[in-house]
Amino acid sequence: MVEKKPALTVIDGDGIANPRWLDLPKIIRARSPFDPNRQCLYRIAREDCVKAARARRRQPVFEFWSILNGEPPPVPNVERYGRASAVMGLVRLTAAHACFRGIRRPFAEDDSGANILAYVLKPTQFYRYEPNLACVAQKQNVPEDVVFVAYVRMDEPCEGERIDIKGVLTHWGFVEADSANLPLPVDHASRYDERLW
Amino acid sequence: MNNDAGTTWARLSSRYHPVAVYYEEADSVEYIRQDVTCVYHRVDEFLTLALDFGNRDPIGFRLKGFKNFYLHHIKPTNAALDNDHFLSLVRVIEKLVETIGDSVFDDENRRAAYKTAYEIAKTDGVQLELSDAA
Repeated sequence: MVEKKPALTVIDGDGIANPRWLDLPKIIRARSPFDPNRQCLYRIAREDCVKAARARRRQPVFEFWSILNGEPPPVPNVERYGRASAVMGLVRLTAAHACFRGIRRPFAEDDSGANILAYVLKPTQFYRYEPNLACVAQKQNVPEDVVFVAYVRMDEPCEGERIDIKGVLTHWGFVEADSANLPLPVDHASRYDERLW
Repeated sequence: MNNDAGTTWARLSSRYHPVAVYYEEADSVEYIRQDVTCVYHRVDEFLTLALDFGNRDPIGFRLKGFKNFYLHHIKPTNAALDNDHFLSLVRVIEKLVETIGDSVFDDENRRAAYKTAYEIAKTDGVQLELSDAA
């Protein structure tokens, strides 16, 4: 008699549920690189976030939540003064005011980084990680001399008219702003191939 | 089954110990001394310094395009191996400067930045676990 083999299922991850603050969404909306009046979708490099967290490096994840996803990091007591207070001053990726293409350096298999996008945001507040008994997420003001840049690796050449442009949001962080043009990164003319909008 | 050992890293109260990490999607190796907000100061296409958000002191660095550089300049010669499992980032930076050539010394700011990254890597004995590298 042939025994029936059990059905196999794929377990995403290591079988242990991520804590809420690491449970990043699978996709995120952004303004299309070719038409800022339209939106597109990107996947998020969740595995790199988990890798950072395994090294006890939480700040990048807190920046994702509060600057790209427009929410306070879902940690205990972050809304102890109310939801409205917690979200006040936060932005999300769709608030980017500039988009550049091409980072002029090798990026994995891309020898020139031509398919890398850089979205630029100017948040006024964000959450930083701080070891604190009350709450490890503390809201902080953003100084005038920095901007926030989020990088996307496009999966394939985009064809302009599509709204479901796919790529991966790979990493993000604060960079120095151009003192002569504060909403833009310093040396933007030389570090990127072109400004899309 | 007790999963505490497997999830200790997920506890927000557990202390950060600086370690070099290779981020595959960003194709970069990053070493940060403290788990704080950084301002990333681009030096060139290979190196970015991480500055403390408040006082802008250098607290780490990021080596970019790491996979490409590792495959072409590190792996063929095992130039930066401390042993079979770890890459010395001091030697990676030395190899990077050697590869770039004299142009790194023509720009005082660029030279100083590489020196800063080198000193951080040397002082902290920064190594990258080889299973993490490209």
